[in-house]
Amino acid sequence: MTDTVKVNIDGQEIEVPKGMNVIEAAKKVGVEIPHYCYHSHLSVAGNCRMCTVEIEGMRGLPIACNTGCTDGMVVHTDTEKVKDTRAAVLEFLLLNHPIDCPICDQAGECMLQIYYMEHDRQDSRVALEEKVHKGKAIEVGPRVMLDQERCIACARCVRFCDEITKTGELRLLNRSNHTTIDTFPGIELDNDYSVCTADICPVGALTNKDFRFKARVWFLQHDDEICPGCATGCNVVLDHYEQIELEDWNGVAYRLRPRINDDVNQAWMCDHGRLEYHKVNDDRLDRPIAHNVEVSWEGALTNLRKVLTPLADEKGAVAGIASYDCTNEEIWLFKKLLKEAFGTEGVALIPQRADGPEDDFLIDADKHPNRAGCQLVAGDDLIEGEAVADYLEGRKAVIVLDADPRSAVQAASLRDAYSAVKQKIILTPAKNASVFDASFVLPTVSFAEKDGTWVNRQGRVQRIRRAIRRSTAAKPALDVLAELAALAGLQWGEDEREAAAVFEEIAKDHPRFRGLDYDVIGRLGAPLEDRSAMAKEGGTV
Amino acid sequence: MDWSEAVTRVLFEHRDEKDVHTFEGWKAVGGFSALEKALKMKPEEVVEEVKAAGLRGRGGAGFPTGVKWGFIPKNTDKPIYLCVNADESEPGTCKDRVLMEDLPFMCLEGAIIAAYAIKASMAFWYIRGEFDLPERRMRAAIETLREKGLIGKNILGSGWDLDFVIHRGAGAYICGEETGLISSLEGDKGQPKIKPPFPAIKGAFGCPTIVNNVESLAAVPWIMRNGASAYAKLGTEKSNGTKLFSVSGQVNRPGVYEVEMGYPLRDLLENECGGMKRGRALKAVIPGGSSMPVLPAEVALQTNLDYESVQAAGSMLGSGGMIVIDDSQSMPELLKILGRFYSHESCGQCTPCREGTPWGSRVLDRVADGAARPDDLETLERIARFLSGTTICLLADSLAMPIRSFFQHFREEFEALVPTEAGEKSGG
Ligand SMILES: Cc1cc2nc3c(=O)[nH]c(=O)nc-3n(C[C@H](O)[C@H](O)[C@H](O)COP(=O)(O)O)c2cc1C
Ligand code: SF4
Ligand code: SF4
Ligand code: SF4
Repeated sequence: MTDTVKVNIDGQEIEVPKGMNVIEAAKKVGVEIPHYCYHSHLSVAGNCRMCTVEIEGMRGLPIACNTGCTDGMVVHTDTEKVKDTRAAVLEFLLLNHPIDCPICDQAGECMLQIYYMEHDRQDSRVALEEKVHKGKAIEVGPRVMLDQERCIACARCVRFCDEITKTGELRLLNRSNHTTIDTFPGIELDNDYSVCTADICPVGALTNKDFRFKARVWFLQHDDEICPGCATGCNVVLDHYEQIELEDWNGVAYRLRPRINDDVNQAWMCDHGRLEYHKVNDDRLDRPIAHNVEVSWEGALTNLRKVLTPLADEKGAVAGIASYDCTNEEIWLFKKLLKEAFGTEGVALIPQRADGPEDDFLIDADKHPNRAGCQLVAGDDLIEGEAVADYLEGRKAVIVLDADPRSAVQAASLRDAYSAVKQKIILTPAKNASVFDASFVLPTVSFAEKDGTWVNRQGRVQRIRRAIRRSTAAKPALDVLAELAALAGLQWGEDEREAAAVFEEIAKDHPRFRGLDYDVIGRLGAPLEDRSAMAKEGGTV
Repeated sequence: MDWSEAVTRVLFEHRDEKDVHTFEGWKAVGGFSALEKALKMKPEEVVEEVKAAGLRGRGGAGFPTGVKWGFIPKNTDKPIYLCVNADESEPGTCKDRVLMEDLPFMCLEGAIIAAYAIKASMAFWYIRGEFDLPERRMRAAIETLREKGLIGKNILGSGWDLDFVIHRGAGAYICGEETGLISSLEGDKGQPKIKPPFPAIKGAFGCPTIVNNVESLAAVPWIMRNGASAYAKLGTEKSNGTKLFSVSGQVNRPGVYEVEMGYPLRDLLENECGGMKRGRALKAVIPGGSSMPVLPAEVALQTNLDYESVQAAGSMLGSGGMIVIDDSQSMPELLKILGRFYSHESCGQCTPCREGTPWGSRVLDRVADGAARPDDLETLERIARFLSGTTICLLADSLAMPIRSFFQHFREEFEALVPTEAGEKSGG
């Protein structure tokens, strides 16, 4: 156990681990000590001088980022001296700043703007023509733009490339007020996590090319999500825009940013995952399709009833294929539909995409967010790999849930077996290779428009959320599955297709999900019960 | 004390001896006997000896050398390094250069003893890039000692190994600051690092490191030969030994002089330096290198040269780079030059220093050049206020202290250059 110490911050007593720095300790009592160079997940540089505080018994103005808490420490963060120093630091920072906020992408989330309004508000003593000029709109890497004039030399980006990716592309070159952030000649900022530098850059010096000039941040809404890009399941924030016209919602996703989770991705995410928000916007299907004609839901269901009702009496006539993109809840309900409506044992799980690059940090070779969860929930019904082709043999219909059996990723045997099935009913949020010869295409929603859980590579259950609303015919897969059940004569109540309730069913049934519910999982997820650990400790399995 | 007696010489004891800059020359005056003696002692005993001598760091801060050596963690499993700070670049300071040119083997002997005392296996000689002759002398001296077996494996049969590497600076003053030196040595941009951790705990390449000034180390052989108490007898109660002063400016005989601590500043100017040039009147003295507060003549002439006296007078002994200013010189002009130096040399990482020193310099330029704005002196005072104590290293203070002390003692000279609100310069 670490020792704890008692400190007093602006009159509030709090117990913290010994040596925790004063910025972090102050956070715990709701006191925000302004800072630029300090970042909780990087080494301490102590260069911006914004976080000075007064500490009784210490001379001068120590910096909170490099001062560890000791027992009995009394910290003041709002004395006149402290406030004067903050204003002076801001005046220094703005001395040579170009103040081009109107054309700066960081505006609205720029810490210079925010702290200026909170702590400075003085007029400038330096004329515009006296400012030092540096490079603007430099392509410092394929995914990041650099404006050297806006840089405040906090060195966060330098430390990120030195300490996290260990690629060391960025350096602060030159001295004095000619200090300039840049790469060495011939070097690009091109590592797999390069856009993180834009996240941690407190100003508009490093910006995310993909997001540049797309939206003003103050129009955006922010919701917790999980990156669907690989089995790591980085915790992210989705920034999206809700355009509302009359009753119509037209949510658009703009970017993903990492959300701090020390058990998964710390404060980072990969550049590939950044682009996963495109799954919300691109190639979407807005209306059901029956035999290559767009139809209404009623039309689609009426037609489907004709196909499915006779098959409901023929045990095992209908097969089910899902992908590792599905949520645990979807697999659970899918399995239930196949079993209860069609008497089918087994559910096939296939990949959406081939394994890709991996590293020893976040990026996993498995480019699906929920392989582990799908496999666990499918349980004894799981059919994978070469067995899938056999499983399809002789079926009269197949329901495909968020999967693409025709994709080039699949084995030829699977593609052939799939082609041979007469009725193909596809539930998918976006166009794929299987849409074109399907009998029925039922549009479902993307990860950011539905509730559910995924299990990442560590066996951690994490929640995705319904953040975006779009006024199209697309529906969450859980609803569509319930409607298919109704066609087959089953009546599932509202509860039975609500994600949280479905999860409760899973938790009741499946030992490794035991004890979990959406509240326990919370914002940061929760580990599955580790059966092997329980067995070792002599618990009953 | 009667200073007319011959001054005891420690560092310059043998400076005038023939060929003392060679191995044989140094050996002829008893060179390396201190090393032989030290290697027969335990490292801890050497540390104690230097502590007892009361030697204080001559790089500027005056921190007790033996105490600093004692900060190296016991039983560390990391290599320990010694960095010799030969970056000497403070305007007005040129004492280490003389030591390295004239007494390279004495400097090296001191460094080897220091390395032994802190159990270092590797020592770096970080030398200012512009120092051509000193660098050649030190490089040759290191080569010679390697040939003679005084650097390398199993030195004098002690079982202790030491290697030496010379590292040339690339022209940045800030690489004289000990952690800036370490960054530069590591191959990074020369920029100071936040403390704590202190170098003795986590220094060069993340390992325990002692950084010492050349002059500090150069005193060690004498201490080992003559004993700690002989050294401690020299100087004043708290400032032991002798100190080099490199005197520049308006004196008849500028140069590097060794005097006992506590020697009157007036005597140094009148005796060693031969009085003021062209018989002009003394106006001010910067006693310890250009970053230290200036003292007006009347205060300076009452001051003795030891850490405590100079501090009591309102300045600091610093590196002993003494700049003598006469009544023909313009203080705003001098401060303008200091402003340019420190703004140019700011490594640029701390906000107040990166932005404040060039801003201050720009304002000082226009004040000295007759283009001052009405509120320029307040602006300078504000800049100086926020340069003090707000940065990673003391370079920012190094401009703040001159600004403040120049204003304190010579404000009228500045006011005369600043227009009043009506647009007139008060001095006409
Ligand atoms: C801006 C700055 C420049 C410095 N330059 C030098 C220098 O050129 N040489 C030196 O020995 N010490 C210099 N110092 C002091 C060193 O940081 C350090 O205190 C010294 O080398 C320690 O050696 P000592 O204990 O033997 O004095 C400088 C300090 C500062 C803040
Ligand atoms: S580019 Fe941004 S993160 Fe990097 S040093 Fe400049 S302000 Fe800091
Ligand atoms: S590592 Fe995987 S989960 Fe994390 S951001 Fe990249 S693709 Fe997404
Ligand atoms: S005070 Fe100036 S020179 Fe020293 S570390 Fe800070 S910016 Fe660099």
